[in-house]
Amino acid sequence: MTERIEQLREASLKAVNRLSAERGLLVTQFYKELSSAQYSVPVQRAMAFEYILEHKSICINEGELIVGERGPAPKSTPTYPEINLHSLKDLDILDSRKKVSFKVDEETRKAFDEVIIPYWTGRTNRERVFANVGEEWKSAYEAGIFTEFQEQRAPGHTVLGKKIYEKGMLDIIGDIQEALEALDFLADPRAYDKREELKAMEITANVLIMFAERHAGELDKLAALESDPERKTELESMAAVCRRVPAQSPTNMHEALQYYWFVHLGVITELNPWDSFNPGRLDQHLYPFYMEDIAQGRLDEEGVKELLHSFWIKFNNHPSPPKVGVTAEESNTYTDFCLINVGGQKVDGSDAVNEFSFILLDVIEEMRLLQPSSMVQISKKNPDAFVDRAVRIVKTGFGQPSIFNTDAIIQELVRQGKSLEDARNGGASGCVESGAFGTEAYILTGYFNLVKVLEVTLHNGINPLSGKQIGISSGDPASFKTFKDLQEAFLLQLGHFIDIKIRGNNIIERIFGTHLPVPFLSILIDDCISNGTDYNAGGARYNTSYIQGVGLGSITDMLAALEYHVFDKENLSLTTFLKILGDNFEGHDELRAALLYDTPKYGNDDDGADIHATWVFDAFYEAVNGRPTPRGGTYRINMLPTTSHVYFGKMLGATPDGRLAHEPLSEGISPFQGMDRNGPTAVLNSALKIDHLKTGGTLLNQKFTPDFFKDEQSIRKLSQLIRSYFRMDGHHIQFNVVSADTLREAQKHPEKYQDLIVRVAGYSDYFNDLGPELQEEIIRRTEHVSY
Amino acid sequence: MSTVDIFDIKRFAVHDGPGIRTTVFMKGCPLRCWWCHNPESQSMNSVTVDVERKLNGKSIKGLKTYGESVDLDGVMETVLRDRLFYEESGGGVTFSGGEPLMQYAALESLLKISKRNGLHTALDTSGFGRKDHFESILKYTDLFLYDLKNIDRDLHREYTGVDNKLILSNADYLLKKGARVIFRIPVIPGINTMDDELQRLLSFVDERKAMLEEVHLLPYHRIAESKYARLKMKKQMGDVKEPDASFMEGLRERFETTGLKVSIGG
Repeated sequence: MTERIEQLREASLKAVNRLSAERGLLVTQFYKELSSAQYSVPVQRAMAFEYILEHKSICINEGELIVGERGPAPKSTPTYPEINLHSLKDLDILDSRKKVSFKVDEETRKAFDEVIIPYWTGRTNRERVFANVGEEWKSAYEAGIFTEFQEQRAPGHTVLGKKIYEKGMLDIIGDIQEALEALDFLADPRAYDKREELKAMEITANVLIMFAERHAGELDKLAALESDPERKTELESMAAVCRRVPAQSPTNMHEALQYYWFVHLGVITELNPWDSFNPGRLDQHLYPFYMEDIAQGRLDEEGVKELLHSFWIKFNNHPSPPKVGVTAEESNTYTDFCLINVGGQKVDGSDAVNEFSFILLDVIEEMRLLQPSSMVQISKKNPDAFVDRAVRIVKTGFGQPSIFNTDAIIQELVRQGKSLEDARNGGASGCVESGAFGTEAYILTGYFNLVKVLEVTLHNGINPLSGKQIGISSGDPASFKTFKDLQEAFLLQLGHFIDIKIRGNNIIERIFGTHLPVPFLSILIDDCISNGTDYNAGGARYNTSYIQGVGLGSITDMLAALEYHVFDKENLSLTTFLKILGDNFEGHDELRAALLYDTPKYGNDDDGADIHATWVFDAFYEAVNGRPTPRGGTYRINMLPTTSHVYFGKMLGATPDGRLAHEPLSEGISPFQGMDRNGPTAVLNSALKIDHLKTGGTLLNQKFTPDFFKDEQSIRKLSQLIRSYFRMDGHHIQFNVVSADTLREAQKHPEKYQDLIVRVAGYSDYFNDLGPELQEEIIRRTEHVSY
Repeated sequence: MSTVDIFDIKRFAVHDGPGIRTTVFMKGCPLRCWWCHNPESQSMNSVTVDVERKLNGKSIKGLKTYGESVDLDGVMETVLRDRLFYEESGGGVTFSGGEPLMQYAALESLLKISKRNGLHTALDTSGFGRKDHFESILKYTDLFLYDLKNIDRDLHREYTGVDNKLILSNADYLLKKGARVIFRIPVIPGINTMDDELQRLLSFVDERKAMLEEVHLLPYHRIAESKYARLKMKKQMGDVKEPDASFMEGLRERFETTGLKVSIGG
């Protein structure tokens, strides 16, 4: 890492997250003074985009090679009042909250108070959404049955393909004009809509060229003032880069990275899309430029890395925009889920790993930044050296890269109807979501609390926390004679709530399609231009809407406990059990211990528990998969929680698996915290009992202590563990290297950490089983492990 | 249906032979090694002990039983669940204990069934068994993880309770028959770390190096201490410290003079 990169990285890490009123003010000004009803909605959105990028301040940081900031400075984060409006109280909360705070200065506060809030009150999309979804939806939403992604952010969730490396904005404008010329106002009833959308697209493409030219102008000025001749030349050549791209296609790595970065800023300035807009298969896109730069002697490896480092830091300068209200709990993080993909398959199905893939892995390890996050795609066709290299980064313990099964992703995408080629150009984004990069709008609609549905079932449609009837009457639990009666009642409630969720989403999708098109994002994703249709209205080649199932491990353990204790062993009646749950196990420690320690649990390759995981998964799949969306696409499921398992847990009382009221649920398809006692192969086997290929992604976390990665042999074995999981169609696995803090927690709450295995040379044992002195020793050792 | 007495089946065992393995821990051992880290294995009988389960700072009594009789089919059903992991990693099944040869008939059946299912098999043994037993399992056993504790007979008798004559002659028998053997030397301070005893161990290995590929040095560890307390068994090792990393490295270098691959830990 060069000195200036170290400084830039340090500056990015130290930069204070601030709320910026810049975009809010510009968009307010535009809509208040300049927009006119004579323009169609898409054209107005394009004009707003133009107005913002024409007037926003240009920020060029000292020493950087890739330029452009969304706000006036690094980590200065805009708001999107047309989507959601921050109240003064929100600003105070953001400013003062301990975690994930955004500082708000007096001037910003004043701008909100005097300009932004007065104009947007009553005009935001959030208000529009809540006014339209209906009471049933709202009561389920408030009870924590589901969340809604598009309530505070725009539907994004797509990843860029290879388009910009082949086409400049001028080429894209040519494509738009061709589509405009092809419009047939006699035969095509949508010709007017298409024309307006295409006109809007054309405006936005020109805007990006203008935005780059503004940077070039600023770089000229800086170059003129620069006294260091080396930096002066550099600034001049950066200005030249900004004049070449995005107008024309890139000719070298520097141009390719700068082009992408302008595009990135465009997408996240146009609206605040959920989430993860990112360059996707970076090793594939950049490899030709890398080879050419090296061959021509334009760059050496260090120069390549310096550019990449500079690029990486840009992502880290851009935290996720803050939300409004108290819903921060849903996803309380600065990360905006950009996920760089490395490895996988080429479009012809061959091994895509190249020497540049390894360089990117070096960069990931060297940067150790929250953003961009990174993943490796592992196909059976990829070499072991690549897997081992990734595991060696995993062992450094910063949670990257996560590890994905390319062969499963391709099968998932093909099953959904994508062409094999488009599937091979895909990967995973966000947390674990499969997508066809450059051709698919795969929108996450919200997390779905499977556990809450069971709780409501156990109370005949009533939410026990509020006493309100939110579900249907599915039967008095006292009347359940068999476990099957319970299952049937659950299926009724599940169908009911999925219908509510989908009904609401069908409204929300149309709201965005009608009122908030994204012409700039639309020029990037095929086939929006040739369809003359916006990304938010179904213009992409593939359109998918996902509902994310949450709490699989928890609900499996709950069903296993109910079947085992109530119906099989008849240890207690369901009525008694529910009473004990209502009392949050007060005075029933022995029952709780039996539930935690002596009841079949998901994650142990125990069919007695896992059969319920398969059953719930299939029921959820049947309720959702294949239903049509208003964008002309299809509803699908995936199994990931981000941090919603914490929020959903708060919305629940005590549960039959022994979990206390308001505690978190299991995450992804991982076992409930600490309940897996048979080691990782058993966890993987349990997780493989659901059919991953029917999803658009599953998330599995595995904890390891640092000892596990001690020698080359262990690293190999972890790689082999991954290969085995993927051979059996597992979608994703992430290894968390546990810290000394976690081990201290395990000493305090052994019941939550039954899975922690500690390795000592030649022996291993469960952490819980060790004597206190030995536990202390292991903790000390973990503290001192430094890689 | 034949059964086997086991006290644990450990999956993702990564120290008991190549690759990812499942280790079946069989009950019963004729030895009484002072440092034994599986003291619950020694008796053929099952032992039930009280365990404390902590919940919110409270202690709730529970029971834990070491040892149960299981159908051989039941054992194999568990073992076979991870066969893809074995295939992917070059792993398989390991029978350990205790001394698995204490339940010779069951062991032979398990090895035979494992081989029929195409698994790689390893036997973790003290070597204290009948020669004809070794002879008949030879064709079903791909790898012997063969313990060498003391070469000096008196030391061996003192610290393990048995004579080592049979153990050493069985080792030679297996090597002569061309079996794949890894010598595993537990490194126990004060018991086999005296210089002359180390030299004897080294010579024993060195004389047989042509027939060996690997040696494992397993440093003594206090990991089992809490088990002794739970089982109310006398801990004979007292406060013996674990050998430090530099001692182990020195030892590795010494054994590497044989030209064999030497690893610390499994």
